[in-house]
Amino acid sequence: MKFFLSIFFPVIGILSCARHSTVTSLELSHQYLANVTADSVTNLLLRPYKLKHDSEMTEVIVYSEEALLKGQPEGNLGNFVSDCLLERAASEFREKNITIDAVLLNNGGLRVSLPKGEITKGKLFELMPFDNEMMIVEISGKKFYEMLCFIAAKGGMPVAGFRMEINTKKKPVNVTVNGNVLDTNATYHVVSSDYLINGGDNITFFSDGKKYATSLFIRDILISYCRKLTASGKTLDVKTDGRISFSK
Amino acid sequence: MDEFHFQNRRSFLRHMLGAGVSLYAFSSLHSETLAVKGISKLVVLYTNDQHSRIEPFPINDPKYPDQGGFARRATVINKIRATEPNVLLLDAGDIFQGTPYFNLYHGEVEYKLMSMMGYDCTTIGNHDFDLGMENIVTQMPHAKFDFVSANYAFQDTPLENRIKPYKIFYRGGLKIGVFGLGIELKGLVGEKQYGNTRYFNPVMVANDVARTLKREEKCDFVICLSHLGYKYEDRKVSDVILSEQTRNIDLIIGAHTHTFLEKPLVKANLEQKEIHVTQVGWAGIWLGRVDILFSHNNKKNSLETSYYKIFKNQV
Repeated sequence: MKFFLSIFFPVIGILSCARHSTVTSLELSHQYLANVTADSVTNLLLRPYKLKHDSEMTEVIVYSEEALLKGQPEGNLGNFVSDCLLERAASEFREKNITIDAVLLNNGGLRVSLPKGEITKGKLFELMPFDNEMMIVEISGKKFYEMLCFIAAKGGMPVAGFRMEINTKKKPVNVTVNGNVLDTNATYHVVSSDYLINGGDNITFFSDGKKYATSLFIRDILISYCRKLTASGKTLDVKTDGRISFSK
Repeated sequence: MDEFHFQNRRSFLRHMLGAGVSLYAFSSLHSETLAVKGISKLVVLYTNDQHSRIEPFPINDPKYPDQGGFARRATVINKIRATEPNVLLLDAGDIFQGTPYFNLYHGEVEYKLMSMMGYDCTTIGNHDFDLGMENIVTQMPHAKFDFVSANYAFQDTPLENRIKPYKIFYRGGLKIGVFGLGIELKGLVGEKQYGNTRYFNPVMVANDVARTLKREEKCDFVICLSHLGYKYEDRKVSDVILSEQTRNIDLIIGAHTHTFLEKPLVKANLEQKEIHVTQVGWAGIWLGRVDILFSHNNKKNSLETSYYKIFKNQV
């Protein structure tokens, strides 16, 4: 069946201020091409790569009750990844008597949405394609507050372990960390990626903190979390819970 | 076999072509027809931020179900090439990273398939550094296209002497200058990844290179492949700022912000000449097209933009 739809916008603009340049008329069209067949020569070249790719990546590792999407001030996708890291970091550091207080990640690092239903190993590679490691950093309460200001200025980031509101001046208010008010004289242990802890996204509040490497890829942590969930007969069911909200 | 076709559309070229052909968009006009009237036509096709999206998004994807895909794009490009002799196929960077194809093959598949599609040129995006510059060098033999970047200096890096600031292409008697610009790497890319690469002010460099291309090399058309990003809330340099603060650039093909521009931005540059800014989101969901007509003295006369949105089944 032939299927073709073209939305056509007429002339968009002629620069009135152009004195010496030639006049340009701009015609614009949006063309929805459906039933585009795959080029067979391209597919032939791709085939050997695809075979190995499919054998390793199409394994279904978990079933999700809902689509997981990025969101601001909060999204269930960010909550899923942050909660996974909080749980894993807490168990990794328990024997060192280090309490993990919070997780901070960046929306830019979550590269795709996850579908409702079957989620493949490949999909988690797409979500977290970077070989980023989980890292822990020990920071002062003052730096923690700087972090909250950074989150508020961005309009929300993927987090776990604390709750906050963002007021109309884009400042953090009504903050609770693990149920307690923020203590600027205390020290806090924050989980993040090596990318952010080493100054990615122009983050400065982690720079002079004591750092703990884990040698665990964030992607691998997510994959093993999903596998365990499935092995125990459970599905993924992540919701937003108001951990970051805008003040009313 | 299911086929798609490009539909003829009305045109606004009466001032150039006369009433006889004004009912058709010039994307549908044959080059021979135009040549008789002393007009050359260039078709620029482009992508940005392909992010290793070799296969279409799966049918259950919440945002882009069954959209994109390299092999489908190859079909669309072949179809255009069948009727257009003067095609330039460009990319504005971040070819790498985003699907397991990159984790498994480190960019080999992307470069090979792009070469097969006949890509002419790309620039270096921040994610192209993800496995280090050595990896770009390793994958380069698979790429039958050029790499341009004018504001990164690669002295004392593995990329030294492998990337030119600009490249001049000849199509249908036209001379087209293409140069590349990259985003500031510090704070965005790990220092381990970008090593000794030095970043220079894109606006300054762009003015310098574009002047060379337009005034000294006498290019008929100058294209900037920019991985700076479309626009920011602060004064961070972007394609919008670049368009306002430069001379001698005709078209900016943007990237990085994954912006699906519903229409190209048309601005007046520093000397009040027209400059177009475009960007087609990411992942090869759209293929961008700009048709440019040049009258007999090779003066740019008209631009037409199309965005092809590539689906399999549903619209």
